Amino acid sequence: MSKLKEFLSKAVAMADPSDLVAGASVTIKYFFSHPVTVMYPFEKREFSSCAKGVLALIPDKYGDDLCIGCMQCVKICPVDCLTVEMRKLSKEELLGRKFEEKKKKALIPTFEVDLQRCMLCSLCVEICPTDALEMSQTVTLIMTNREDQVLDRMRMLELGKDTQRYRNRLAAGEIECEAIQCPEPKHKD
Amino acid sequence: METGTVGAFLEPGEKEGDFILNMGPQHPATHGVLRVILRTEGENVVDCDSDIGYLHRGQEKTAENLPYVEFTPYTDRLDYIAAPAMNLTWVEACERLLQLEVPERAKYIRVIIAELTRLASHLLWLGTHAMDIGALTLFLYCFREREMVLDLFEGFGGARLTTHIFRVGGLPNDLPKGWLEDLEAFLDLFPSRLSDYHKLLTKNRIWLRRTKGIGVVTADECVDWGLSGPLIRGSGIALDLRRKQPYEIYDRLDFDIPTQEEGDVYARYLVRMEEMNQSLRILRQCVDQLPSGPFIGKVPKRLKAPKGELYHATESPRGEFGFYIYSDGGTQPARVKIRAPSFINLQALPVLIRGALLADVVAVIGSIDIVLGEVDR
Repeated sequence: MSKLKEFLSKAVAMADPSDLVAGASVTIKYFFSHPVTVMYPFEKREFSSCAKGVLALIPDKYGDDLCIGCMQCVKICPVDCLTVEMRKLSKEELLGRKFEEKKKKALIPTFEVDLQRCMLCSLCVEICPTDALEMSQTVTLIMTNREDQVLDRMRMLELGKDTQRYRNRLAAGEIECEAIQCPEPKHKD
Repeated sequence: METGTVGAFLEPGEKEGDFILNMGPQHPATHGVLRVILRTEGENVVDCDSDIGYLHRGQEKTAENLPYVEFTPYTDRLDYIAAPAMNLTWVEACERLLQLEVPERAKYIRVIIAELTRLASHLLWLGTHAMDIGALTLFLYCFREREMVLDLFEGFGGARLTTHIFRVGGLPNDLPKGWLEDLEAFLDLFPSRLSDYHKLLTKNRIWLRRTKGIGVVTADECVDWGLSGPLIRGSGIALDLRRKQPYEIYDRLDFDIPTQEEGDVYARYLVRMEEMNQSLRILRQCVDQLPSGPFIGKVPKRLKAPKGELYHATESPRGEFGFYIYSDGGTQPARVKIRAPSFINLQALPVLIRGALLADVVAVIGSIDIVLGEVDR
């Protein structure tokens, strides 16, 4: 008798469709809502203003970088992906040169970031005393060989135009020069 | 087979019908590179062993060669599903070791991010766990909501997955304008989505039959194996470090520790679902109480830890996650040991699987909620 009762209660539970109806109602509800997917190659989503992309150098108003060559970024980088070379300028050389950053008394012939190593932790950006570095909003960089993965100073300055801070400064009229300057060659022969 | 190799005890038996089955390391339901060696008798699993280490990167050794601050981005790569929880543990451990003060506002924002992490992690678990068992619909809904949480991470810290969102001494930046409004909009929306998940699964007859009474682990076994997180709470022990050893500001917040008595896959499912609800409660309280003030305390440029050792653990979405740091007085830790909840919970896999059906293995692995980045370190 108890077996029959058990069977009957199971049969009643099986015949009760409330669980399936509740589930189906959720699925049917979303038939009438808009899709949330962004159709990626055709449309691109906006990044938030502090999204961290590839590392970039901020151009100053004369088109040069703001780096003073203090090497703090090189020291703090956990993966050693930065290569910086600095050339101090003598007093004679400094005459007639315009730098936005008052501390800047040096040229930076080399500033390279190895994208194969960089993990976008932004520790270098935070430690920089002159705010010369910034994470750009560029997240896709397509290269055909490994050597191109090392971004040189010029490319980093170009990427600097894709940062929120550069746009803010451009809007505020703090930047005059659009062109980016190349530093002097290391050896003058 | 040589002695000492994984699965040595699983040599084919003399019994007819015994079969050794390899599952993984390339298997979608093992959530990464986990290899499970199963000894089956027809459809029944008699015994099992797990083979780990495919994702080993030597994180503990790496920590010995890096200053305290510089190891923080590496912790992202431990449990990459819940990276902020890993950051939090490391940063707090360093602060305790270096005796740094953290401002109140930073503590509140840290709790907000940590609870959002719990939501994101549980949403990914729910989606993939349900998909393993066969409920594909939920996977899409869960990822939709998880995307919202990741957008909040992106709005605050700049990154979505490997966040590096906390700094030793506080936070990298203050909350951007409009971020709290975004968070509140999410908090208003999420409860209705959570009830959708409940409607889809909690009473669904297929879900019940696939999860109830499967992978049972008793409270005593949980203590013996040192399990933590939703596993031990699903077996009736209310162990939660947010309550037992409050860190940050958890002692000031009002929330419940959900527990279930059964200890099966379904109980762990209910525990995690209720935890999402409690996380929402915590988030609401944090948003209401959020004080103003600085977001980072005074941090000396050159961090030098005093001689000594320290173990600091927090409640990550997967359980007790801890760092043991031994310092010899230098700028780098002399030894670091990571107590990874996934690793310890995974060791109990044979206990959970023995006697189950082959198809239940997937359900059990899903209910432990492992992340191989943390297991293999």
